[in-house]
Amino acid sequence: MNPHLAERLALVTVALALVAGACAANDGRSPEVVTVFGNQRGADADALRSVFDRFESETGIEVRFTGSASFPTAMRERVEEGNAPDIGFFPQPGLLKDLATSGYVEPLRDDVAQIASSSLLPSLSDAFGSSGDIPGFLFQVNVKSLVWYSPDAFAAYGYDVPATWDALKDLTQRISADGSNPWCLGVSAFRASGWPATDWVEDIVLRDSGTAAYDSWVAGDLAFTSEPIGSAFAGFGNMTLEAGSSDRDRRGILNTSPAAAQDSMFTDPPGCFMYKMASFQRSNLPSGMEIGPDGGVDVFLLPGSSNESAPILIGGTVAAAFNDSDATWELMRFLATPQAGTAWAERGGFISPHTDFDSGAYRDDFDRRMASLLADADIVRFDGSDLMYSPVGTRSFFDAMVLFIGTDLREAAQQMAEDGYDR
Amino acid sequence: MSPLGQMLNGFRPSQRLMSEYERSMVTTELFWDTADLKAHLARFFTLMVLSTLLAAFGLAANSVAVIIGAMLVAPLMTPILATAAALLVVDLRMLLSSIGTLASGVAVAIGTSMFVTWVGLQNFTTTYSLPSEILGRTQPSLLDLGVAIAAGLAGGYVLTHPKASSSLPGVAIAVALVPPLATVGILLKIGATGQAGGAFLLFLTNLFAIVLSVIVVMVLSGFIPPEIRLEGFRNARIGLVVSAVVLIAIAVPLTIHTVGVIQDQRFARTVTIEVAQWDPNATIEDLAADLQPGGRAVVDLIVSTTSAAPQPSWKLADAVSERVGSAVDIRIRYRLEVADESTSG
Repeated sequence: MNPHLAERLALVTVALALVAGACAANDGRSPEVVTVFGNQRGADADALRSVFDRFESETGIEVRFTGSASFPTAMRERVEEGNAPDIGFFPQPGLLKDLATSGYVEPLRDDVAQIASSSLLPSLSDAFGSSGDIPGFLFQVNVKSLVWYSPDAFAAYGYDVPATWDALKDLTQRISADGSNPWCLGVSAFRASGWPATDWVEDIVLRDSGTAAYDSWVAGDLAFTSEPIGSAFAGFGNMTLEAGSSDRDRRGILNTSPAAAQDSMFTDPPGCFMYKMASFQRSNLPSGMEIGPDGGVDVFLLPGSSNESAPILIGGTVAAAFNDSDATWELMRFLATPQAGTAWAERGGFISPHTDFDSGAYRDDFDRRMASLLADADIVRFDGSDLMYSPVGTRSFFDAMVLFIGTDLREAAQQMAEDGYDR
Repeated sequence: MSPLGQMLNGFRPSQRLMSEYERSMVTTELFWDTADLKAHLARFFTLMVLSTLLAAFGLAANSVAVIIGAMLVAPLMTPILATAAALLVVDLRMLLSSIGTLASGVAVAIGTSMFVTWVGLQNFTTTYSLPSEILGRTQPSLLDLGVAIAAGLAGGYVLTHPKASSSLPGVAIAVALVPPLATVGILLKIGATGQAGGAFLLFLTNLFAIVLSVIVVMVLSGFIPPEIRLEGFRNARIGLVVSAVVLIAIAVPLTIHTVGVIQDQRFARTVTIEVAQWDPNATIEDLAADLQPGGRAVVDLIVSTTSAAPQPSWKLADAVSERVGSAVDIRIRYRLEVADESTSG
């Protein structure tokens, strides 16, 4: 036999064997599965499911999603028990950063980071301030610096939407003077009780002390016991906790859920006139209520301290990988693209962080309005408590707000929040 | 001939024919004379109101004994039997008047119970506060259809065999007509229209099952007069067809519901097994498991546990979802059981 032919035959045999082996391996295996863990439940989980359905039909990779109301605790436990999901959907980038510091998170692959950042809204580029590198990307955002109000009630009582912080203070005083309660407020949320009040404090710090102080505070450099933070606590208290400022007393505020706090805005006469709450509050509106100047409810942006455009606080979901498998990265790559969100956007309640997201995909004008608010904003910052060192951001800051609302002991509350740092 | 044989023989229409006297006994019982109509109607509506009052209070007090009392007082059986009989003897006037009596009886029952709820049951504001006797009447199943058909057969038999009339109370109890109507009124008053619909479906099930069964028994007992029999049971057929069609229409939602109940029970068993593996320290205090159309499962669970760090809900959600192959929403309320004992002195 020609030795070359023998060589070639041997090569062909080896190649055939490899192919056969590969086929056998594939035949015997069920499809690859990627597990995702987040905090979405009910309708949001269904919407997310529709995103994964699209990925599954394109790739044949199966996605198993679990969402939990106690995500921060459960995620940390899973990771520390060695039972991490392949991908985590973090509403708290601060927790993600903590886990990354302990070496649990896979660094973002370059191509995925590239896809995610190439079309990120310019206004979001500084959203994480000086909190350092976060080994994930924003999948979805929501606008937090909103005030919900009833246009009909405002018209009936002759109130105008305030354009500046001073005008907002004046309106608050005027509504009180008229014998009504300006603000709706409720902070009861099991382990996260107090969070709506943290949003108030964050928005005030951002407005009164600027981005430098805000970023330094969120990064853990500026203490909770410092003057700028103390004055933000006081500003929140003066606006909403003084007798007659809210439709509930302090105990009532502690016992009312954020979803239910708005309800007295829609009574006649209104129990309260304004509710500072994120864009996702839309899912708690009375059924069938339209949002807009002619609808039953509308929103205005929490004004800035001067006439210049107001800073916007956002929340959102950051995706991060805990497994280096190709299937995991395939899903991460898909989620980083602007198109990934369209299936959710069509169902409503999704706002994309991307410039080239097709705004025609949004279900209604409200989502589209939120997207353009974000795109046009000069200053955008991520929710401080979600970004902080997580024992502070998901525990001691919340507890401090509960203490402050319940007792008005401002300095003790500031100290309590600060004590979450083990330093 | 054995007693059973005799009975079967008696049911054969070709061999048995009621005498004119027997037939008139039945019709006198059922068809009210124009002369006595006022008295009959007064008695009917008085009993209707009283029976509904008993039913509504019995339901509210969750007392089976009182509810059975209401069933015994209820006068609805007469116009129902009269409707069936009028169909068979082709008496259009009697047919219309029986149906009219029946319909106004239904309206009076629902109205009375709404009134009672408005006046006396003001603590009933949500469906959560309702006693089990009310809730149990909002979800009729195929079992209820079976009970109604059997009781209808008994009712028809008792009517055409006057010596058996002492059994009539038993029939009335088996196919309760007034308690479902009282339930409809209570639920309508508190705005639970969906569940009121369920209770009304239970009433319709009983009503049409009785009419159908009674017609069958009456035909078999030779109730139809000979001159009408020659026409080939035309009216009997119309009556049978109409009530059979209505019954089949009712059986569809009942079947769907029954299948749903069986699936939910099977699903609840699956959840129970998974809970035991999820947390051996947990005891199920209460479990509501619902497989919804569209393949979504909802579990509401109360567990008591001796562990200060109970297992998180997501692990159970994952395990159950894996087992049933569909999306699962789980809410768990934990009840921590801690005991501390001391003795002093």
